Amino acid sequence: MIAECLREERLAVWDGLIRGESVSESAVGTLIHELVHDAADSERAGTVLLFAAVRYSQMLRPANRWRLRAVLWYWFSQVGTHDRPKGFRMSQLRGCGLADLSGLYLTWPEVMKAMGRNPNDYSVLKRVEKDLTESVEEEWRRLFGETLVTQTAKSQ
Amino acid sequence: MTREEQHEAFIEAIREETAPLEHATHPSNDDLLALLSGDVSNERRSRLHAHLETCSDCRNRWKHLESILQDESVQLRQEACIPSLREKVAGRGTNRQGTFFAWLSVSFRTKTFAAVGSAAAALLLAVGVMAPLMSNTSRETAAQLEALSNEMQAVQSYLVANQTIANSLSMTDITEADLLRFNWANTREYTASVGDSWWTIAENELGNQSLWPLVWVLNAEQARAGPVAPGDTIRLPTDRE
Repeated sequence: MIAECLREERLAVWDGLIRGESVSESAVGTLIHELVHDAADSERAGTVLLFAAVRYSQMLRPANRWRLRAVLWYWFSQVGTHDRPKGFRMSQLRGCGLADLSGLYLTWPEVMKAMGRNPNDYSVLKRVEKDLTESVEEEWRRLFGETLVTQTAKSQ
Repeated sequence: MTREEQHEAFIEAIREETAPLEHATHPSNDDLLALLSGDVSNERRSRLHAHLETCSDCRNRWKHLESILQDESVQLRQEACIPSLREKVAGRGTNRQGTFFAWLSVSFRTKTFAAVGSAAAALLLAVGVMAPLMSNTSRETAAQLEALSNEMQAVQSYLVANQTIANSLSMTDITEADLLRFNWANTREYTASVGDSWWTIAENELGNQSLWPLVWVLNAEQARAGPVAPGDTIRLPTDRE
């Protein structure tokens, strides 16, 4: 039950990031402290990824924060049952939140177009995912004392 | 780990984060309506979205309420404003006034006030918008904008003559930046769908509801012929790269 409440807490933080709001590390730091030793890997991964995303959003200059938002729009639209309304327009994404994205299955060019950027520019996606991977690995080592790859191998 | 594997790992993590949850409590319809109207704090809004993401029943309720609100909003706009404007401009107006115009007629009852307001709007448009544009944009675009402005002012005069100031005032919301975002000389075509009005087309396709008079003028002939109907081809300006 606690794990489920914490997941809902994390999703609320994700919603803020999706909207481009500033989220403090301390808000997520509390969630990390709540992680118990025997927490499931998925819970650990979810928390560490969120922490990495919050830290990353703070590293970006305000003018570049759209990059993280674009990647989050893309990721969070790739889950849930397909639910793109008939006649859906990209302009409807303005000010969208977590539940608005679910099931839209946006393509990267669609996300970039909605952001008013070059739809064929995949470099932003590659760069943000690369940076977040490094950040997640670093944070995982700091918290759990082993590499993410080792941990994944053990769990398999 | 390859880039594709990294990407898949992220999506998998997000999928697990957003998997359905068993909830002990659920938001009420009032909560969902407050969310739809934007009448909630940021924190509350994010918590409601977190709930909706993981609860399909509430999500369905939310979507249903959203569609009802959208239908009502579109119907109100079309019934109250657009036919009234169209009738007046086409010269076959009646004395029937929609709720929006009825409200405005109370607010701006005197003809003098309407004339002053309209003159101010025209002056603002000419000085604040058209003058900088004339110097900043290409000759061709400037000429096109001037033609649009003339047509808008003709519409405006007609509205003032009929003691309706609403639509002339709405033009003051248009800024130079709004106009410069688009190339008005080079148009694209948009096919209207169910529920579309000049308002929604300007809002959804151009991202700014205030630009509707320009869209109206750009399609003046069609606009005078009748309401926007599903399947209608509407001319819209293209994005200025």
